[in-house]
Amino acid sequence: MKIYVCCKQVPDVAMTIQIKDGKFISEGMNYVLNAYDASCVEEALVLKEKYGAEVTLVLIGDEAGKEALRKGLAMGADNAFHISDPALNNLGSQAAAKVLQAFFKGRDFDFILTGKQAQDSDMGLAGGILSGLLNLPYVTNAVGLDVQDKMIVVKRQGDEGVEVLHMPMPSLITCSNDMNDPRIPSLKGIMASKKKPMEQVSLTDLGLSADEVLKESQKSSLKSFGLPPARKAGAKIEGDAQTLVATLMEKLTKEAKVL
Amino acid sequence: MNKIVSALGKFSLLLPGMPGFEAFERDVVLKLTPEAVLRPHTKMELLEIVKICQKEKIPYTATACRTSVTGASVSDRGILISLEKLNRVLTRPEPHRYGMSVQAEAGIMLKDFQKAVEDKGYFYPPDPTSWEEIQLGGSVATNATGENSYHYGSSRNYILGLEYIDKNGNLVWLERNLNPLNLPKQKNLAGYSLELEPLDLLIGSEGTLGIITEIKALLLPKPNAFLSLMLFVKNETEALRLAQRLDQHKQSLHLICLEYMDEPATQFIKKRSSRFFVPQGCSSLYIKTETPEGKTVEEFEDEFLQLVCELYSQSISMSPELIDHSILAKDYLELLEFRRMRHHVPATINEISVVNQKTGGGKVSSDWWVPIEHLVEHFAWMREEIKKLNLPSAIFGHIGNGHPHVNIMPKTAEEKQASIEFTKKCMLRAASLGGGVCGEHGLGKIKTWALPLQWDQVSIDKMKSVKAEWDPEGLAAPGNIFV
Ligand SMILES: Cc1cc2nc3c(=O)[nH]c(=O)nc-3n(C[C@H](O)[C@H](O)[C@H](O)COP(=O)(O)OP(=O)(O)OC[C@H]3O[C@@H](n4cnc5c(N)ncnc54)[C@H](O)[C@@H]3O)c2cc1C
Repeated sequence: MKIYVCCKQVPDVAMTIQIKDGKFISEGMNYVLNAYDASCVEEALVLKEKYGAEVTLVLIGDEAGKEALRKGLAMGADNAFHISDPALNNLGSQAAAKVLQAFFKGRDFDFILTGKQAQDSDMGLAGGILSGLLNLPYVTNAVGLDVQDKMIVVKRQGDEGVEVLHMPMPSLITCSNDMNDPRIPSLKGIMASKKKPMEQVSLTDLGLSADEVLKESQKSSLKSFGLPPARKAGAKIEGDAQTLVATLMEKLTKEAKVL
Repeated sequence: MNKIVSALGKFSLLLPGMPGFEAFERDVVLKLTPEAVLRPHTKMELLEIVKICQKEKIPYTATACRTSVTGASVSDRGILISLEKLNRVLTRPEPHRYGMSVQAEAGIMLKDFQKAVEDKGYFYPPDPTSWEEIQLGGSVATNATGENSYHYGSSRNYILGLEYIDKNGNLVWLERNLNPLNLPKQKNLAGYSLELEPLDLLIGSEGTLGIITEIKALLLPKPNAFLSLMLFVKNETEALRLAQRLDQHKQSLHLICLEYMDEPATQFIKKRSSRFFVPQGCSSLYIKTETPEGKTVEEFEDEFLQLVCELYSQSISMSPELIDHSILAKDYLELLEFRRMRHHVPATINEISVVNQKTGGGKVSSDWWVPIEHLVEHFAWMREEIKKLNLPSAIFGHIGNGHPHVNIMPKTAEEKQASIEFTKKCMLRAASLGGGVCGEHGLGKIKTWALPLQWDQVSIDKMKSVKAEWDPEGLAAPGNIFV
């Protein structure tokens, strides 16, 4: 089996996000593998261990992206493609899908996994658009994967519960981070990852021009960043149980008007 | 009781039986019922309460979040005063001759305080395992330490000034003269720090010298990225030797934390971990390093791993498969996983203890430390003693500070008594090697007997005279530290 995992590098969620004049300040940020993509890598590796597979990572990004790829390789992926070009900075979902479409052109694979969204923008669009461009069957929000009789068995979290779908190969599946707990790389994995192939791919290699990418990028653009408004301080009610209930009832009926 | 109601009745009193009172009756080890709990809204209200207590001779104990494991924060004598409502950061980070400083009220939660300074681009290092559930004031009154104390030292190293309420009910500000970063970065000795500055008496005083109201803390610039490595090692002697070698290379490895888990403790994490493989039958070291200025994480990672592997392979009996299984955490979620994993060890021991309590046993934990050069020899002696005890044990903790938490898990009352005797022997020997009998938890009410294990009578008398001078009526946190 040949499994491709599309990855993205995102700022480490632990760090304080700083925004100035509507722009995200990237200096001093650490970039890590998007948690949803880490779950994709983990699931692909489990399938590899079960049935045998080649797990390939693809990432569009600058130098910081290499570290995210290295992480996936250290977890156990076999090889990686790093698509990098000055024209590819701050890509929108549409443009990213277009670049990936060019990358997958003529490639042989059984399925593509992507995170259901990225932790930075939380858009959740690239996977869907890519499946459209590649004309592939598509499932979102997978929480479990297996392979049976040349079909991919996908458990997806739907609104009403978990749905089980049998998908043909090739397909594109976007994965939830509820699917698994991604492994933490061992020292052996880390050392091995430094020797694993990571191929650099430019826009020219993909037969795309900077203008084409720009045009796609403009279809949707991010106007500005802002921090969520600070939450208003809550009201604290004190007293014995009777006073508490009475005050709460009053607030719920008169102020919040929910009762 | 009547005396308290008549003296303090104008404040809102939380009395036994009222909703919310129960939470003030327990810390982690003791249940003691105070006559009333007061939760002043302002510093002036607090001051008034303390003045009345002093006039009426009502004992008062400051209480923060009651995570003390010594009974220090609960009392059945007089009242408890909770600082929970005095929880504001009072200043912006400001330049100070020793760096940047910030002032806050003592009742602020440590995690809120740390987040507030982090949002301004700074870092307040003290990191006890209980950091999410304690107050800044509680951490200062116990001189709390954590896994990063190996590099950063204890709370004391970050205190520039303190305000407290003195024996006459006055607010007194104590400013530090010396640079706190130059003070020894060692774990606690029991009792008061007699050799340093006046505010050092209050740090670690467990509420016995008065209530701390405000704290001026020293801030550091935010550190660079961390890397954490869990190294599996065949046996204890090898692990301790490796710890000593890592310690010798502390500077070039930029180590900030050096922790040990013996075989039983390491196997506890095996049961919990789905994210990495824990080999059978081994012990482990857990180290953390901070990327130095001017280097990228990747550049430093290569250098760091190379040196660690070299140190690891310097011992012939180290098995290469084990180093292969060692795991490296780099991003927030992985680092958090490591932290939780470590937290899982005491949690498991507590679960075993609860089961053992049903048959009269429980757990007997110790908090002694020795200078690291004595570690291997002290451990060898201790293992012989544990063999004689013939009881299950698990050891984990701050090996870089020579400070392991040794837990014996007796099933019966008789076994428990033997475990206590064993622990006393360890403490006495640790003190004689230049270490301490309680590295981080203090004496509180349940370990007052340990003071003479640490100090001679002359020193204890000096501490008693400090207490008599600062709190002549013995009203502040009675029962803590001294019998
Ligand atoms: C799971 C767990 C892990 C722990 N890990 C660590 C650890 O890694 N390192 C460590 O050092 N400790 C540790 N502890 C012990 C404990 O959390 C610390 O001692 C902590 O600093 C106590 O903070 P607190 O807010 O709960 O204070 P409390 O327990 O409420 O009070 C502790 C002492 O401080 C006094 N006090 C509180 N506030 C004031 C004030 N404003 N003025 C004067 N005196 C005051 C009290 O009278 C009492 O004597 C741990 C405890 C638990 C339960």
